[in-house]
Amino acid sequence: MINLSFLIRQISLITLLTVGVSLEMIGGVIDLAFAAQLSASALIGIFLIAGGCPVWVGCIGILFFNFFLGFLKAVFLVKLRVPSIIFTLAMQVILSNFLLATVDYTGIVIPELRESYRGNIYIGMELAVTVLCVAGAFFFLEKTYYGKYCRMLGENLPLARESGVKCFGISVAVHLFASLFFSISAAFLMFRTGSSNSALGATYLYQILTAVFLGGVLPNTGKGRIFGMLSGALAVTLAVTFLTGSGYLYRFENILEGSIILVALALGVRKKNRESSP
Amino acid sequence: MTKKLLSMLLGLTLAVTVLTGCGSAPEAGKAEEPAAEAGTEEASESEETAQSEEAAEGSKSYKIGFLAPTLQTEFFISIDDGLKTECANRGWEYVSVSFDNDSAKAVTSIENMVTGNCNVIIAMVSDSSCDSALADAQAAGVKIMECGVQTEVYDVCINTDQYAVGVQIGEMASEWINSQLGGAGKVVVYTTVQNQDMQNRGQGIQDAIAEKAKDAEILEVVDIGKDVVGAGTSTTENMLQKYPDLNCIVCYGDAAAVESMEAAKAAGVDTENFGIFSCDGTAQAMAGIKAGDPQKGTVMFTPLAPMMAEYAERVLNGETFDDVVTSETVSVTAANIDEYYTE
Repeated sequence: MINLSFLIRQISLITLLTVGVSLEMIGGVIDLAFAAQLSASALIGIFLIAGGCPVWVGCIGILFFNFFLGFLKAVFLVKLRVPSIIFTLAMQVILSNFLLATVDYTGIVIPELRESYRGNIYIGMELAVTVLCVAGAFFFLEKTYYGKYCRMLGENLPLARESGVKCFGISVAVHLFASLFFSISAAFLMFRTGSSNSALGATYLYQILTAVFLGGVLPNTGKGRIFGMLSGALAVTLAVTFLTGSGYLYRFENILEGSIILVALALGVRKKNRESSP
Repeated sequence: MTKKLLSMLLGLTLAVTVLTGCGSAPEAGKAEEPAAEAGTEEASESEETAQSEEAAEGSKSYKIGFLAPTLQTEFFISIDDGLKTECANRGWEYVSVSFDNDSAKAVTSIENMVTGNCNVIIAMVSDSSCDSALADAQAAGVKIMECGVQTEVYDVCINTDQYAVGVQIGEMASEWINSQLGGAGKVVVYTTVQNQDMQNRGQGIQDAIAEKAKDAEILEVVDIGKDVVGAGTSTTENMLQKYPDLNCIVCYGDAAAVESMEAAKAAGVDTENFGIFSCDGTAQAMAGIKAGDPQKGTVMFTPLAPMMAEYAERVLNGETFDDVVTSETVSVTAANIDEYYTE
């Protein structure tokens, strides 16, 4: 029997991350750094709170840190034209090691934060925030010029540039918007565990990429719909739930995720080649 | 075409997970069936099967979930294997999950174990970050057994004073430094700050060496991470380069120690006058001690899996445990290796 509150909690987080990563991927970026970004920003948030700052300052810290990284991605990927896989992989390594080396891990567990969150925030609120964010993403992608330009960037960046699209500005907007999703996810994780470390959320990397690809968002195509993203998030959440319950998670999760990512990437490349052939 | 294929993939994933989930629902009396089938194949397994059947007849079928920080090191693999056997002997179902030192995954796994109808969750969590999830599981009627860490949420807690374990490792190393090297030890300590218990253990090691081997010098205390496979090898190679007169490595766990042993042997150290000391009592470490390798000692715990299964049974039978249950430890060196290890 599925525990609905657990399922809603997990779906909320995976949906937020899936939509955030999908937005970036529609804009042409394969982001391998978002999981490390999640842990690093949660660590900054909890560091601020542990240092005596009010909780809202911690949340603002998380938001600004993610905005900064989002801006950095736009600079490196669009201005400097560094390949996204190389840049985000380097960013992942830097983030996961830098904070571990500079912050005293043992001081960053705040049980009161977790208890306060548990006592005051209802699962319905997490769901409501997620629904609002998803609605925002739908509006951004389908109803604004930013969404259309974002797809152009993802489909063919040089062509978009030649067409006079302000690629850097669009990329900044897309990454800042995606950063909002990562920030909310990082805050949820920080509140739920009352802690953070350099590994917090690290296991979401493959889960989310799987959800993104399953949802039909493929790299370098500029295509992807909110419904697909939601379906991908739901499929991955249910898969992880049932694989854990049946004892197969450890043995089969990575195999399943890796296989889906490979198949989806192969399909994407095939489609791209077909479209570009005369 | 691509859309259709992706939709098929999506549908297939959902179907597989739902079918897996449906197939896994625990039913009383079903868990012993596979054991009964296996019992017909080999005579040696028939006794075990009979035990399973007896146990299943005498008690309900339960499902045990084991949450480990990793399932890649021998220490945790041996607990996992041991629990699997103990549960099979009792006619119980068993699932295990590695949360890879990620508290977010630990929380999700606890929630999913509740959904998967586990009756007892054996949680080897790192700190109190999972307390909310454990409390929710408890509220759902699941019994919580904490092991290796003590937080505020548990029905039974099996723990050890990690500082005392560190002191025990340090004393073992000091004894060897004093007797074998005349006290002139050049020591590197491998610890980790990623876990409070391991940090305490590391501190115990340092304090014991400072007290018992006064002429020895601790050259460096290295944070090698928590159960990071490969860290022992790379760190030892670096330390041997950095300190050519290094003659003793003291680790918080056997996983790093065994890797260090191989790295030290590959570097051609004098195995007689190079000592590696650690904790966990894994077979690889014991084999090293027996073979006269640089591994000179390890602290062994009472086998945890049978203890965990026994306390799971007791807690399921309604017993309550206000005090922490402590597991015994023993120092294993060349002097007593034959008592604890046979090839």
